Amino acid sequence: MDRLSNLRQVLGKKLLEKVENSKILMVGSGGIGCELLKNLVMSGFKNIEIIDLDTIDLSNLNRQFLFQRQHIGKSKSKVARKSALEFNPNVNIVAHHANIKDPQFNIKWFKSFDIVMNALDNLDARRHVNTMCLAANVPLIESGTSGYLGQATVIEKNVTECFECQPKPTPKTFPICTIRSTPSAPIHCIVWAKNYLFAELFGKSEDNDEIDEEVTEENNKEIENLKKESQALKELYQYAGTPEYSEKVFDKVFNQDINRLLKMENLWKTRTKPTPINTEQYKKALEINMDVDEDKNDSKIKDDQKIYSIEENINMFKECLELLVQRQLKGKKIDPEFSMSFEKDDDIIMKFVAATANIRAHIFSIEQLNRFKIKEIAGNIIASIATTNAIISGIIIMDAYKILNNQLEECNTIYLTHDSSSNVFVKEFLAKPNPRCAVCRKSYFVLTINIEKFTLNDLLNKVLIKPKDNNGLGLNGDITICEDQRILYDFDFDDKLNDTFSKVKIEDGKYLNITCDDDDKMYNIMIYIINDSSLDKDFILEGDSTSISYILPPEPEPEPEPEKTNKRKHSDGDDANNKKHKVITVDIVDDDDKVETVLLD
Amino acid sequence: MIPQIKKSMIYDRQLRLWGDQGQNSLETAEICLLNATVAGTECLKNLILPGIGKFTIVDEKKVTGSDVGSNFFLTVDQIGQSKAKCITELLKGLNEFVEANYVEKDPVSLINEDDKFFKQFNVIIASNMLEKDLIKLNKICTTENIILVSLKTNGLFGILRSYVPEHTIIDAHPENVTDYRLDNPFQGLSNYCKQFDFSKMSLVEHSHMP
Repeated sequence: MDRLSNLRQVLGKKLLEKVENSKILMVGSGGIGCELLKNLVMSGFKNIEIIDLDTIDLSNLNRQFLFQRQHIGKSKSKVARKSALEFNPNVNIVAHHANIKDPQFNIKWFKSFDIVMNALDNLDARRHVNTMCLAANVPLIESGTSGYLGQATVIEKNVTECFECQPKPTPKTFPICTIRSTPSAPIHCIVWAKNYLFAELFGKSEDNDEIDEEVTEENNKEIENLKKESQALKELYQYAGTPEYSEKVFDKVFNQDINRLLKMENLWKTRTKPTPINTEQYKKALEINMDVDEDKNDSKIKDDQKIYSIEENINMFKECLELLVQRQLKGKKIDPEFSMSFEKDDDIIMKFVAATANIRAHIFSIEQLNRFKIKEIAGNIIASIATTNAIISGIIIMDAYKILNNQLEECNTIYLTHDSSSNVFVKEFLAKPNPRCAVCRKSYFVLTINIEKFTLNDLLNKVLIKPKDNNGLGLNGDITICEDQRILYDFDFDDKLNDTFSKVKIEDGKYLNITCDDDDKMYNIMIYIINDSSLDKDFILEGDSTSISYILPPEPEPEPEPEKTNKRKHSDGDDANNKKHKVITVDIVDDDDKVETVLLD
Repeated sequence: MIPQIKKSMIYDRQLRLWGDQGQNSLETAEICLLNATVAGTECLKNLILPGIGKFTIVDEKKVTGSDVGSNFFLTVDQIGQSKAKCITELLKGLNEFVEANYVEKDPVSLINEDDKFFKQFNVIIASNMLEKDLIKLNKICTTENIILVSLKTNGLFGILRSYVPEHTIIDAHPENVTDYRLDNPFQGLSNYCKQFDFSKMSLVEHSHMP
């Protein structure tokens, strides 16, 4: 009886062989990753590559069982690999401690895998992997968990929906006036403390200058005032390091700014007026002697659960501000561009944000929250347990077996529920691709040429326009060739046609975006460039040219809200973004009307 | 760092789901696994990680080659050793706060000869056991008010069933509770029901009874 006897009995010799010979990429080795890696090495998979940029934290140990206390601080992917090998040394595991978005993980690398499995916790990486798998034409098993809930689905180009076919709920953002002028809930105060106060005092200066809110007639004046307010706060920095700094900062944000708001009578017609805290009250609060440094005994847990008094919060504000300023001054001595970003596990930063959020809440008569809750909100913490991850990882393996057995169509999207009434699993048929999806309705090709010899004209005439039965893509209509944001050729601009790729700086590893407007169809092609200096003027084009996908024009009227088959809530384990709300525009140029598609980051 | 702080930091992500009360319920749990099967091991792993109080594995068998191939918590060098002992040792490493024990006996012999053994547990996970033994075990559990979970897997199939002693739940938030107390009906309801003679009804009348 050898180690694989049970597996051979269950899968059969043929499928087991396919499994053993397959090459798997697992993106992420945290909650889902540990369970999935365990399953992979026990399910016959012999060639596994894993990648994760993160290091091990104490809070991971309740579920990421491949890690133990001695591993804290070390690379997740590397330790996961080592632990897994201890349990099954007969498997080849390659571990990368890196970001999946690094250029070294290119289309060629993705193509080397039979299946890609996501074990991620953020939308950004998921989108990236989705695009790469579509371009490389590799099946992707996408999954996510959050608390008791989870789901897993399969994505294959031209067969199923891709990750972006359906819009994903964007992280909630609040209007700037709610945050800066009229908060009404604890979360508004927390966002203020973290994204305004902390960011203005200690963050990168460029990030804070923009106010992304749309400027309208009404809020025009208010936004101007808010900008002035931020400017004034910044100017206080000259006092940093002096004993008066804390008092000045406190007076500015918790007294002067509040008084300015009070002058705007119309804001307070129906709302409770805020009560500023003046310097006298501030000084009085500091006289109360409190020991804010809580490293002793069991007080730490109680402190996390405690609701502090306004005096205690004021003391904490002063103490944390001074500690952070010291850090800042020290840092700037070494690097004038030094800045701090919010870190939920940094005790001082967390205390500062909690104290200031609660002071603001006090001023606006809003409920106070304990640090445990504030950390959860500010840090976007997702509850996570071993069982949910274990279940979803099991489903991933079952999907993998089906894919390797050419039964991808028999896969379903599976949701793990937690209602006491319904079934544990809810199955949904895999949907077909959305004909209007800007991501998967793109055709992806890989073009190998010699960048020193191949010209744009060669690309246009030998590849793009040449008929399909003559090795070309047979494009008919107005063609535009772009690289990143630059237009290299369109029907109006052909100056560069005779330039070589190298001359227009199209190098190995770059992507060309080609659009072709043919009446009402818009073809969107992405060509990945590989340089081969041994070639002359010839080229190698890889990809499916038989059916080049096109995007339908956008619907004339807004689509009705799709309710019907209850689309379950997606659990992303998403840490949302702590970053500023940025807007990136991608122009999909249509001849008659300029259609702009806006992607929100 | 004292244990309480360490626990609250390690368990942070689960405390946000079930709070202190849930955690307390877990930590007072004493769980017994009968037969160290793969499914049973997996089950224990998922209970040990969040921090149950105590676990005991009962199995008299020795580790074989095919065991190593299917159980993540067994290695090649353990072939021939006691299965219960080996798995217990490896599972123990998952959580320092959990107490671990093993008994190298056949669970069936304990059911037949030493049912008092089970009194110390509040949950028993019986894995891959025969129906006749499960019936006996169920009687013991019912008497001692122990939760019994029976677990069986075979290839791609599995069955899980829990037997929980009858217990009362009090709904502390009776906003929408419509309770007819059918197992203890009020007088008016009883009288109303007694009016009907089911034997004298037509099929149509009967199917339209409230």
